[in-house]
Amino acid sequence: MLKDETKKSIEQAIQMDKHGVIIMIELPVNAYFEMNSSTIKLLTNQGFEGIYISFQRPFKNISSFFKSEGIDTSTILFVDAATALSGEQQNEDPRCIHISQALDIDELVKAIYLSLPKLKGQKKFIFIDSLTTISLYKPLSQIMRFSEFLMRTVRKENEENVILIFNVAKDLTQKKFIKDIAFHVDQVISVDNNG
Amino acid sequence: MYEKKSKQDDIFDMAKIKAEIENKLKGTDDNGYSTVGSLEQKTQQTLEAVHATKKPKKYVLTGISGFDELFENGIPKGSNILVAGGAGSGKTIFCLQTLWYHILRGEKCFYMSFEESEKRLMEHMEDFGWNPEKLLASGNFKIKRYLPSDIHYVSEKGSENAMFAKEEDSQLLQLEPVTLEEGYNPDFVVIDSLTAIASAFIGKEGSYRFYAERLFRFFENMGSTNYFITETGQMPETFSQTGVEEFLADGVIVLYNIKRENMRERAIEVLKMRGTKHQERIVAMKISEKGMVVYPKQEIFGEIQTK
Amino acid sequence: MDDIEKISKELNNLPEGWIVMLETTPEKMLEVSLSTIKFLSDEKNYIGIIVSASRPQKNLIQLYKQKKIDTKKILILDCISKSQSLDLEEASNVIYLESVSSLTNISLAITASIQQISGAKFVFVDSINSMLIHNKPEVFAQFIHGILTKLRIGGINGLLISLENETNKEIHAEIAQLCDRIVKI
Repeated sequence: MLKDETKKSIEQAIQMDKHGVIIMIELPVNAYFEMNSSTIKLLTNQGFEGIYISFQRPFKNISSFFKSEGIDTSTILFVDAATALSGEQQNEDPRCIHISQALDIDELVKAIYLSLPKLKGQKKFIFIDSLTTISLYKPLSQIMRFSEFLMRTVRKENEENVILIFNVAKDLTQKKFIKDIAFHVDQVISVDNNG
Repeated sequence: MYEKKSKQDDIFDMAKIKAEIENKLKGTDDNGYSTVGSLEQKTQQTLEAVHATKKPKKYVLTGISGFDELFENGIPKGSNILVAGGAGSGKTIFCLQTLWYHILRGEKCFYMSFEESEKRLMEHMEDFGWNPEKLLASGNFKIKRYLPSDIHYVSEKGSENAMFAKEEDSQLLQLEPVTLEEGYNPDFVVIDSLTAIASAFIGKEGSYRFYAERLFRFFENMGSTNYFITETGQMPETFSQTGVEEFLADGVIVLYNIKRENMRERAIEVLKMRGTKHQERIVAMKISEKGMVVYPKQEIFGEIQTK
Repeated sequence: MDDIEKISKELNNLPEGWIVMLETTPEKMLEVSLSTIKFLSDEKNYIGIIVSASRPQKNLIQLYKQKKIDTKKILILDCISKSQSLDLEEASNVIYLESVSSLTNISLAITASIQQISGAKFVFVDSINSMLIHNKPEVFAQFIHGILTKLRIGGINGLLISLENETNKEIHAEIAQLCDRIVKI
């Protein structure tokens, strides 16, 4: 789904000789999730393990799509905040942490903080999809606090190398808080309609 | 026999990791004991757990469709609960429906009205098909109308002015409400409303705070589960007259009647309930022909503005 | 390729439980809606749950009959008639909702509908633009997010229809990114 050029840009970004790389990927809205999953596939194929934090789609939908795309989901720990937001029942799954309906940012922060050390591999990622969706529900101050926590965590000197990826729809990149976050990332990769 | 290990085995046991993380998020260990809080708090929790094994805590339900699902177990028996909301938000219906549920189960229920007459309250019940005459005839249901001044202190000198005492006065005897019939010990009581009672204290707000504290203690000692209705604004920021009542109460239930353009949308939340876990969000509610219905999984769309 | 061929090709390429946004012009909107509903109910044999914020049920039923859509396979959640004080005819396939701005009620109705109707089905929101007239964009985006998540958990298909280039860019993006496909007709 992603063009070779785009894949190359992402590969170069994740291989940056830098501790705690932070990337923002700007995607067109059409086939947004397909392109998302292409990024995840690229990462898992390169031996990365990671945490996928979803505000947009429930775990059930993401994992079945990933499997259909041939993505190895055994190396991904999912944090499902979408199911809670809809008020639906959350089915237990060993690969998924469900966040409670209150969608407490502190609970989310704790979940990530506790999950990271559990990933045993050398190469790790945290993938956020997406900050603009959670900003529909939570005040911007909390969104910024959450983003700052993530950025601080991956850039800690004594933390193992973790790549942080923020996913944003292209048409939403002009939002002020997205621009503020983009200012602090190491690279912004813009994907066009063709991938 | 060679057994091919899965990639997962090589890396980590995801199920175990997830269980550990979720325990830590809840602040409990594998046995359900809290891993957070001060030493004092932990000691208290341990004592409670010990007592719990000897004497399980009892809970009561309201019987209101969907509302009881907001709790893990129910409302702890013997609680003092504020039922707060603006005009027309459904406070009276909530309380009447709860009592109706318990009367049908043979429990004794008492409605103390400082506002509406007995006749009006019975008409409300008839509207929903709850047959108040039959309930009264069963002997398990009593409605009585009071004036705020009917509940008052009696001092040694028998002065009603004692009602407005600001401090604990050694001359004051126990709070002595209108006596109930001998042998009548209700399981559930509705006090409708604290707002009406507070109206007797206009200009003497300091006295009201002291009085409210004694009132809560009185009903607590009765052993019944008590619902105190309190009128607020439509979009309240405080849930009682002075704020002290919501501090004193074991639980606070808030009913909303939210303005949306030219319409109103109903909602309910359990703001606070000591002694039980509960959902912490505002959910949809409707008042149908049969009574109140709560939708515990249905969030409210749009802001609940306080102005 | 005609419009319905294009739509059917896109939908046939997606696994069950798809969520698709149809984008079209004002002139074509009605025909696109009707053709899509006909395709899904007649050819795919789905039961349709139509959230109508554009037209009252009386008008819709007439249009469906003209298009020879089997209305026994359609449930209409009519968000218009009550608020416009129109005649609320008793109909076995119509539920009247308070108004287009009563998003909580609409959500309740959709949830109840998908629980009650067994078998393959789709939910059709007609239309994004009509609903945005009556609702704040961020609140509406929350509503759509909630509905689409419920559909995804239930493996139920969903369709949203909107006018091309007429929708606020940011809200359009918030909603579109939640969909599996955007099909421009």
